[in-house]
Amino acid sequence: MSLAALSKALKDVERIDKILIDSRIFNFMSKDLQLRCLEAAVHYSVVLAPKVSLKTGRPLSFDGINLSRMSILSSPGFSEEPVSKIEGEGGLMKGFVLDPRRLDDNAQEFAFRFQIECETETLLKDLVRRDHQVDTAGENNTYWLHAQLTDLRGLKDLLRRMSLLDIPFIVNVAVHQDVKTRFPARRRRELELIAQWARELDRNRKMRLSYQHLELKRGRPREKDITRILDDLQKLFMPHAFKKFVEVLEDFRYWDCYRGAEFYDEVPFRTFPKWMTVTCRTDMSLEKPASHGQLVYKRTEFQGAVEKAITKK
Amino acid sequence: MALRSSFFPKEALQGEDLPFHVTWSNLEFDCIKIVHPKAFSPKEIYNVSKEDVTTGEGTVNIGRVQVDGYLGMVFSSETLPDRASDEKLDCLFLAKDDIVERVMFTVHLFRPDVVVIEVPKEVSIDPTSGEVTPKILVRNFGEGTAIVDIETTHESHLQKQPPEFVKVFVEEYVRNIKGSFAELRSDFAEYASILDRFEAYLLEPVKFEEQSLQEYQEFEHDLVSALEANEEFADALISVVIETFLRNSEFLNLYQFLLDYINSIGKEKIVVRDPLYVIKLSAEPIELQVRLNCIDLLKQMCTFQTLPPISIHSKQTGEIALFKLFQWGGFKE
Repeated sequence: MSLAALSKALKDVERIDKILIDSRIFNFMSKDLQLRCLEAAVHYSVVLAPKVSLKTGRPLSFDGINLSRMSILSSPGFSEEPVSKIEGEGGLMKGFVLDPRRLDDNAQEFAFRFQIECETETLLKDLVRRDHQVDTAGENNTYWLHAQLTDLRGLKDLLRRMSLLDIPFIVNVAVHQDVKTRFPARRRRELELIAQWARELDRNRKMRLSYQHLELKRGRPREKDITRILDDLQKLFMPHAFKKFVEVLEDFRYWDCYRGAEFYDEVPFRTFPKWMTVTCRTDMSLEKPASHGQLVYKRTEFQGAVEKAITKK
Repeated sequence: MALRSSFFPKEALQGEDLPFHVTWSNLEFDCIKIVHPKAFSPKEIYNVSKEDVTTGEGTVNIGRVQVDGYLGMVFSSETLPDRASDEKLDCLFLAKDDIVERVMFTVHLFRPDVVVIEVPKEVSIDPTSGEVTPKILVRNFGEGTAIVDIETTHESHLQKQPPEFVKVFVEEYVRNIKGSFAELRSDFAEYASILDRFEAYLLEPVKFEEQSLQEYQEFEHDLVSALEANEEFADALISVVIETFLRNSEFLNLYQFLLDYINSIGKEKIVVRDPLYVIKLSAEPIELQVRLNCIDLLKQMCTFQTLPPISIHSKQTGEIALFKLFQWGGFKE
């Protein structure tokens, strides 16, 4: 397995290390690397202890590195230390500069944090194998999720500590049978009639369909209006509504959901989805090279909500 | 307990990749032996050097792992003769010939199994009421979802076609989507290739044939990776497609959407690919021949069958949705 993408990101880490080592004023106490998928960035944290008086230091320039943020906290005071931005043409940020002489002279340690921009998906492809359940057997409603590191040895050789945070998983949850089974056959006839009416351009035929529809409505005056049904069904597929019917367990957590697409259809995005696409996330580290979890689709509760949308006025 | 965690799926589609891992601490052993069914083959082994792996028929022996405490694997599974089968995986930690730790798993492998039960020689259709007697009975005896595509054969005298209102809708939809995609391409140049293929599939949906499905799977994989990688791109793409769809929805009405949705879903986890297509009826009997192509959710072809010709009788001219000639699932009505 290739760690080429990671090696590329680590080049920036090496350059940061070199700048700090060459300054000859710090001792490295610890290093930590976090791949943050949500921010599309690598967070590199180093704790440094001054080995000589900081007043002897010269300004350190972190230029030409894909840095988007840099911060320093001193301890034991936990106060933020000054870091200046280097601005290029048109005010574009080029990097950061640190003047050690401006750092707290009484501090015992400094926690440096560098945020390096990178393409996390490319890194993830190299580092993590991701699998999830595609279809459930019969009426089952649980989807398994699994992630594992592909080259633990390679990573350990490169780094002593590393975490991969918010690794995304996209899972399609089948909802089609649940809307279909709860939609009464008698309302389907009404739906066909209205759909036909809306398409009809011939005045006489349209009138005939109107009468047929009125007749149907008169026979069942207490039934919920079909337009309201449509509206209430739509609401069930909104992310804030559908998330109530999904529970993500163990090493994974729920992140978001949206209507799934059916690309094999003539019209792939319909107003009523057959699948809801759920994004889940998990964390991994060198100490935790594999994670597994479950996405539970609360089918019975969703069916109940569909029934309510169809019947409750 | 020396074993810290382990995983193997409890159920999966036949043909799906099956991930496995085991982690441990403070465990002394000489080798790890994995005993697996013939239907599986090891596809990936993580944290083990090639020279420390020996494979036999139904076994994988791991001499040692690179970093103590973790073994990861992926098995590929194949389509089985049975529509459902429970298969076992056994992971043994051996010291000399003794088992020092053991973890066993059972996976339920399933697939859809679509069977054409009954094909009538003659079918009578009333295009006004939509009544069809008798119907072609198709059932899914498997536990997996089947996506069914109904095609009319070249020999068939009746050919399926989209109804007029759908033609207008699709033409408008495609015209607008082209404009919207041009904007997306300039905003997300890095995903231009995905957008090109996406647009191509919108213009001409994938054919249910091995080669096309394989290409489609690659596209789907790339698309999912892009959506996972870039939430901004995901939001923009979905908004563009849905907005374009709704902008053109006057050509199809909302009631038609719901009807189409309900019509496309059969019993027994059968999903009809496109329920809008119709056949034109005449007052004279006319021959219809159809072919059913089914895929599972891994986009693997699972059933394809050309049905014998059917004589279609109608008292008047008109049209009927092709899916209405079928009874999807259940017993003969």
